[in-house]
Amino acid sequence: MTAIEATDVKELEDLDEQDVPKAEWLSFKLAGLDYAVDILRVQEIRVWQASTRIPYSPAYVNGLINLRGAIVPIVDLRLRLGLDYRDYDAETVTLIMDVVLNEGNKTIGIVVDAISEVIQTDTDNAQLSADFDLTIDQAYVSGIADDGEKMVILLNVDTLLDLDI
Amino acid sequence: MSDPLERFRAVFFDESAEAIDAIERNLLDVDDASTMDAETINDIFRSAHSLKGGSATFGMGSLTEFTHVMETLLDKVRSGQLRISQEILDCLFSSLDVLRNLVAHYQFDDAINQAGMQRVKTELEHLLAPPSSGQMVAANSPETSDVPAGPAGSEWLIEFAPDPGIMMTGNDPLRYIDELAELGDISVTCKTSAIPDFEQLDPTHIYCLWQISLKSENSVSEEDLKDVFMWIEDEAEFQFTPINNPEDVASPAPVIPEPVIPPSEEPSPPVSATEQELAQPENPQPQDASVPVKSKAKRAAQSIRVDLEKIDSLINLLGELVITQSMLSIYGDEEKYPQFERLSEGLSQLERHTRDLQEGVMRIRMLPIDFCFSRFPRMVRDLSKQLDKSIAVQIIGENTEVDKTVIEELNDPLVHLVRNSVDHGLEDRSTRLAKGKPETGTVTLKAFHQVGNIIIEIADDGAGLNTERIKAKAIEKGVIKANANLTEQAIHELIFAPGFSTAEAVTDLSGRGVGMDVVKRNIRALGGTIDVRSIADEGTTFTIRLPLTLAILDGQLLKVGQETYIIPMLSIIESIQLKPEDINKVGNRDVSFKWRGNFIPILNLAALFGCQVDHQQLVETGLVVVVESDGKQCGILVSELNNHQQVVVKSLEANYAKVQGLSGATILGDGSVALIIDVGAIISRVRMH
Amino acid sequence: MKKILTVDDSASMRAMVAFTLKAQGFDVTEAVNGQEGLDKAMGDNFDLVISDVNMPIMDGIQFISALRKADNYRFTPILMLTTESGLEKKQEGKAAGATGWIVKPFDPQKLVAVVNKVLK
Repeated sequence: MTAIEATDVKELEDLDEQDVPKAEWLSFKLAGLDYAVDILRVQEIRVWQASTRIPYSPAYVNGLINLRGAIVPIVDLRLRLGLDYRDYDAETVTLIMDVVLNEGNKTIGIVVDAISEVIQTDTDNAQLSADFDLTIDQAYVSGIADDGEKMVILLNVDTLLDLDI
Repeated sequence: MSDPLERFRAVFFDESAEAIDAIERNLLDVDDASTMDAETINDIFRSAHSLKGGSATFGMGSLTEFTHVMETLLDKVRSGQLRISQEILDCLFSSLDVLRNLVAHYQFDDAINQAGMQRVKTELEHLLAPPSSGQMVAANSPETSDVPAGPAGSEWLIEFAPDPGIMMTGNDPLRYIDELAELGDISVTCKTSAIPDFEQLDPTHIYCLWQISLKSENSVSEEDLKDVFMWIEDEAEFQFTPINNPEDVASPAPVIPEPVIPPSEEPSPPVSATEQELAQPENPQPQDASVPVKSKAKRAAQSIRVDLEKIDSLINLLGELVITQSMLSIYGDEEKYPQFERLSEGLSQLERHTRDLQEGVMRIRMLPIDFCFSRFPRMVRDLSKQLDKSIAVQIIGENTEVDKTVIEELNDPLVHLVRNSVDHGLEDRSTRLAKGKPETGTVTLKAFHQVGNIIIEIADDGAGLNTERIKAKAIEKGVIKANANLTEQAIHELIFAPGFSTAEAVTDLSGRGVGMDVVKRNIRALGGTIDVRSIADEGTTFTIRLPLTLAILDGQLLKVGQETYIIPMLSIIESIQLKPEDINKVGNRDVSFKWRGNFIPILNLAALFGCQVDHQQLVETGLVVVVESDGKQCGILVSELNNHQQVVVKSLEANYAKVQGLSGATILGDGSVALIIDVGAIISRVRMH
Repeated sequence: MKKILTVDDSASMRAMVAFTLKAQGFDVTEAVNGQEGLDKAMGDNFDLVISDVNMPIMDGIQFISALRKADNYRFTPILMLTTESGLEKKQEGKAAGATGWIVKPFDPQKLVAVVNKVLK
């Protein structure tokens, strides 16, 4: 309950900044922690499907799938973030993301353990990640959100999926 | 002039003269199809529109009909459904003459030049037709019943008698009728005779049955209809009756007095108008009414419009058929199954037919580049007449097949490049003779496939690019600094710079074309590149390289371990079976084998690509695909050879990156992704080792 | 706003259906099995119900036939999510009162198309 009260206080403080739009983030589980990506970048959520391995690809690139005729690479997000590999199960899903890169827009899928929920946050709520030791590359993180009782790591899709191949 | 209507007619004639002049002015102001702005198009549209409105008011049918077609085309351009192109501009120019003639007909009783009008009208309709679907026909039908409809599709009579309790499963019969309407135009009759008296009526029951007649431009199969009702196949009675379209039977191609134009040829450009008219007189003019029938017949012979989605789903289905066929083909092994001799004969026939069928279906999407090339001899001839130059056109590789979409996009850039060669590249007769060159210059159009690319070359044997003039112009235009130190090649490439135009004086010819920068942009939009090579007094060659993104490749499917790869058939010489002892080893490595008297290296694809595979088993299987590139051969060890089929090549770069040794990927019949091997690249790796 | 109930024991499948349909402006409620689905359906008035077939506690077939018996769901479209091979289940479901089915795994766009059609 304390967490909810805290949010209420927060909202009172923000009263004069009501027009600041709240961003929506899609949160998901990865190795016990909660992460989230900008929901506007999520094209669709798919059940995990077998992919075609690509020679010379980094370990975190799972392979290629056919997305309605387009060839789309799938990134294992655990491995991309340097976490331990886990076998896929019924809860495993692939989020198809729109990625904005220097060379143009790409469509790339990421495999996560399970989908959680849609959370709302704003810049005030998203604390600077430099204060935390997240064990993952800071460049991939755009902030930390306080979602009630737990902390959610907000990922920057464009740096996260700027694959160094 | 006592009749008040007559007075308004006079006003209308003044207005129409103004409107036609306004269209002409606007068209003349446009010197570059690609930079034509919305305002200009709107102006032209408005003029055509007011002509149409006025002529309809005064009962000037022919003028109304003609301006209607013009207006429809302009509206498409205005709304962005059609891209303005040189042909459209040319056709609008020719429309002016028709408009003036028609106005003169109503004003002064001049004779209508039927042939001229019909030709331009057909051309307008032709420009209108390709990208539009049923929409245009629907928009036209109320007022111009004589605009030819698309080729006849299917017509069905459907009886749909749902079980009384159908609503109890949440199904609404009307929903399915709506869904039928997505297949084409429907008219629905509801039979209510089974509705009981009010006292017996259960409001949750359906007592109606429906008769629906469906008319579609596309072909609709019984399967399509059954698909619509899939969810309720057990909850209703159906009867699907195909109806023969009486029009199909009653409209054989009428005798056409005009010379028959070969199907691949574009409608004649405006320059030819006089020729055609001169050819006419001895033939009786076709009457108004017969004209649309003629153009309908002609168009039907050329093509039918099919939704690309339908073709793609057909391709996918065939992919599955091919897989089934290859599954069956193991029973065709006569040594293993001697008792199935007849079966094996049938199977090999099945295989052949399946392959032919697949090839045919894949080809639907592909068109020979001739569709694009064939217009040029005529165009160059007309241009050379105007310029008083002697120019021959040479076409090579016109049968090279290219995806339909690419052909459409290539048209404008190629027109510009050819115009450019004719206008600026090739010298006139005397200059050529003075240089000791043959009097007749040549423009060569060439198309061919090269690993991973389609190459199109437009070459001339003219004067070559004028390096000094380009440099001076680039400095003048501020494209480069005056002290810039550039190689000759770099200077030549400046012609692609935005804001650069080589023509010293804007001639009548290239004046209305697009700029080189636009050409480059168009090619790049297709994922391709364009290069120029030019040697003074020898000529200029533009090379367009397009990736295989949309192209199709004849590929051999094979497995290494569990992974499926595709090798282009063009790179394969043969597939052979070796015994382990045929393979020469150096230490642990398999190095080479003897093939046609020579030792050729073995390429360990599994190791190269990191495939999980039991190497010993691979050697014991001894299945080797002998491939060749640039005169070098090597043998690739594979676990399994599957069927070969045509595949649609997709780029890996679009969402991923270029991968060494691969030229792309494709989607197989089962929906999975398979990678396509770039044989040239992997062979060059073998050489390095 | 049209209200849709999605019943599935797989959180991911639920999330996928919910995410896809919410993006289209539908009001989506989730339930983890037939029993919860039934409880939620009774306390509300959904325009469409999408249910998995194999679920613990109460499976999709039981759920559909129970829901169909409720007065306010007599004519409501109910779609099953079935796998390609589950032809028998399809017929069982139809017998229980399902409107139609969607084959898993499905394309999100296809789901939207079917839902729009059914709710039109």
